[in-house]
Amino acid sequence: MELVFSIRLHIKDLAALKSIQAFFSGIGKIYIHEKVGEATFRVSSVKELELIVNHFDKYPLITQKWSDFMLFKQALGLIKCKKHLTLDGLQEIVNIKASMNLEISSPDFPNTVPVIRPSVPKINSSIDPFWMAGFVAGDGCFSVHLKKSPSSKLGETA
Amino acid sequence: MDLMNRFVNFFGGSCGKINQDSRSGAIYYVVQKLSDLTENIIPFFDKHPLIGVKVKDFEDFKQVAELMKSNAHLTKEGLEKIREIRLNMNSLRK
Repeated sequence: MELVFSIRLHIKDLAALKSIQAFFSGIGKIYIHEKVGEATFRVSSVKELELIVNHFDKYPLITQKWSDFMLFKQALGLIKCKKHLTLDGLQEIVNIKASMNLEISSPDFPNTVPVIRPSVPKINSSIDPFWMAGFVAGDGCFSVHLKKSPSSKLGETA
Repeated sequence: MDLMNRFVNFFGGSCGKINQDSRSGAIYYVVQKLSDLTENIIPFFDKHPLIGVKVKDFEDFKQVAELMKSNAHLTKEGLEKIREIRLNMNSLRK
């Protein structure tokens, strides 16, 4: 049983990954997967995960990932008090896992009852501009499309 | 979805639109209108810079938007230049 916080980027953005690691005072490790062109920042020790959790408690996520974070925190709490070493505790964590991310149920735990996924709180304050810049750096795209244009002399337009 | 509506509001309320891909369930916030890009989107990311390789894509994007603003995309040379920039952007970047 292991909890993992990770950020995977294209290897071209290794420098950004390193500054994230430095931001979290150097915890975790960066793995470079040359063949597939990926780099992953990975944190898995309970002590180091506390730092990650503290950060996101202080600066809450605002997308569906907030729910994953809350479930992650529940699981970390159980592991911290060694509950994962008992069968009941382990099942409890599997129930949490079943509601996380893109999880599908595991045949090894037939008694799994997924916990209810906490719903993201409604926020009324406006979006922080630096959140917007960070979100777009991660999930946004600036692209140029060329399309056929019968009305243009060139037959194509941008 | 709520978040996407806030995106529209964030950029002034009338900039861009939300599209949904019914097959994958994905929601897109798309801004295509040149004046929305040059007056809202580009100035925003000039003021709040991106971190990482996407900065380069943004710079290229900005260059294309400027070419289009001066109507360069209506000339053969201008369109060729845009094609060249495009072929070294995002996943095509060497």
